[in-house]
Amino acid sequence: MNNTSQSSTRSKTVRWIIIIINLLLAVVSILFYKSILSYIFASFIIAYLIAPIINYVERYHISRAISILAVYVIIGFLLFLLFNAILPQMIQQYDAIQETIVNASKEGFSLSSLGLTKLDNYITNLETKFPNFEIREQVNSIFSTDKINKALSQIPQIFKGVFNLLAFLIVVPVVSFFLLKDERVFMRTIFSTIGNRYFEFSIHLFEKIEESFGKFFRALLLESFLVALMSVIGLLILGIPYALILGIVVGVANPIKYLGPFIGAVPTVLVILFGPVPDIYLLYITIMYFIVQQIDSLILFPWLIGKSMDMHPLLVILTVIAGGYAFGILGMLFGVPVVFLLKTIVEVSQKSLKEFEII
Amino acid sequence: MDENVREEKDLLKFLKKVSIFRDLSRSDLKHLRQYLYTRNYAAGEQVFKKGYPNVIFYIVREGELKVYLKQKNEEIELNRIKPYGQFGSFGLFKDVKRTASVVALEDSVLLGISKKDLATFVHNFPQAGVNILYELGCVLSEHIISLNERLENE
Repeated sequence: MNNTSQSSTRSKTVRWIIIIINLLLAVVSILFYKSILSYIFASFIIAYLIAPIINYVERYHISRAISILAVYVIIGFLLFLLFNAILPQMIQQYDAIQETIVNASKEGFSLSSLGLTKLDNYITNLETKFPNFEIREQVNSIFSTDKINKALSQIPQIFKGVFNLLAFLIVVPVVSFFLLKDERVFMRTIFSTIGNRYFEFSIHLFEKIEESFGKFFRALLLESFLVALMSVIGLLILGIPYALILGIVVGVANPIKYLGPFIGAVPTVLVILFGPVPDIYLLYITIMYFIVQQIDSLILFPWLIGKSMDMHPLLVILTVIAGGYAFGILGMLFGVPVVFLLKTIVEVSQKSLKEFEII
Repeated sequence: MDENVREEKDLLKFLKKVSIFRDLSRSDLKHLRQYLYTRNYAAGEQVFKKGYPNVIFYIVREGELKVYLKQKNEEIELNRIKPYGQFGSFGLFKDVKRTASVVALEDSVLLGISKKDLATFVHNFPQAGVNILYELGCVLSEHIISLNERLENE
C-alpha cells in the first residue's frame, strides 16, 4: 500500500516536471522563432486560403505537391501581370518625384516647388481666414532638410527592409507548401500527443471552431473582394487613375468595421486632390463609395456574415479602437476576427467540456 | 524510416481486410489513411460513454472491447468487438449522442476517423464513398436482423 502511494506521488512529480519542461520549451521556442512568427502566421493564412483548391483537385487523384506547385505558378503569373501593369507607372511616378526634389533642392523647399500647388493655395486660403495659425511653417517643416537627412541616414534600414521582404517572399511560400502538403500529417501528429480522455473532446472542439470561424473568415474575405470589385468598377466608370489599386485598398480596409470605409477612401481622396482630376470628383467618389457601403451594409454583410458573427456593435467598435492603439492598422484589421475567434473558443469549449463530462 | 514504411504497408493491408473498405482501390485507401488516427487503449480504459457527442468512428485493429449500457447500477453487455470490427457508426448517419458506452477489455489499438472527415472523404471520392456506405448499410442491417432474432427467441 505504502509502495503504491509512494510510486503515485513519484509519478505525479514526474508529470509536473514534464509539464514544466514542456512549458519552458514552448516559451524558448516562441522566443527563438519570434522574429519569424509573423511569417508563420502569414503562411497559415495563405495555406488556409489555398487549401480548398488543393482538396478539390485531390479528388482527381492528383498529388498534393503537384497541385500546390500548379497553384503557385498560377498565382505567380497573376502577380507578374499585376506588377507588369503597375510597376511602369510606379517607376514613372518615382522619376517625377525625384525630378521635383532635385529642382526643389536647387531652389530650396516650398510647397509650390514640390508641385503641391493645390495644397499651397488651400493653405493660403486658410491663412487668410485664420491668421493666428502658422500653418505654412508647420507644413514646410515637414519637408525640412533635417528631415531629409534623417531619411537618407535610414537607407541601411531600407536594405534591411529589402532583406526582410526577400526572406518573407521565400519563407512564406515554403512554409505554406509544407503546411498544405502535409496538412493531415500535422493534424495526426498534433492529436496523437493528446491523451485518450481528451482526444474526442479536442477533435470536437477543433471541428466546431473551424466550422464557425472558418465560415466567418471566408465570408469576410468574399465580402471584401466584392466591395473591392464594386469600388474598382465605380472608379473606372468615373475615370479616376489607379482605379485598381485604389479599389483594392478600399476592399482591404473594409473588414475594419465602421472606420474601414473612411480609411480605405483616403488614398482616393489624395489622388484626386493632388492628381489631374478636378476637385469636384471628390463629391462623385463620396457618392460612389456611399452607394458601395450601403450595398455592403444592407445586402452583403447581412447575407454573407449576418448571424455567424454574434458580437455586440459596442464590443466591435471598442475592439477596432483598442486594436488600432495596440498594433496599428493591422490591429484594426485583425482585432475583430481574433476576438471573435477567442470568443468562439471560450463558448464552444465551455459547452463541450460539459458534454464530455470533463467539468 | 524503414519501419515507418513497413508500418504504413501493414496498415493498408489491414484496411483492405476490413469489410467496409474491401472494395476500395489502393489509391483510395491511401487517401483514406490520411484521415485515420491510431489510438492505443489500455485494458479497462473507457473509449466513450453514453451521451457523449458522436465525433469519431472506430475500427478495432488489435484487442477486444465491450459495448454496454448501465441501468440502475446494473450493467447490460450489448456486444463485444474484436479486430476488423467497428463501432460508433450511428453518428455517421444521424446527429445523435453516443447510444452506448465502450470500454477496452484488453490492451487495444483502434483506428479512428472523425465523422466530419469521413463525410469529406465520401464527398471527395464518391465511388469509394458509395462502397463504404453500402458496406456500412450491410453491417447495420445484419445488426438489426440479429437483434430481431434475439427478440424472437426471448
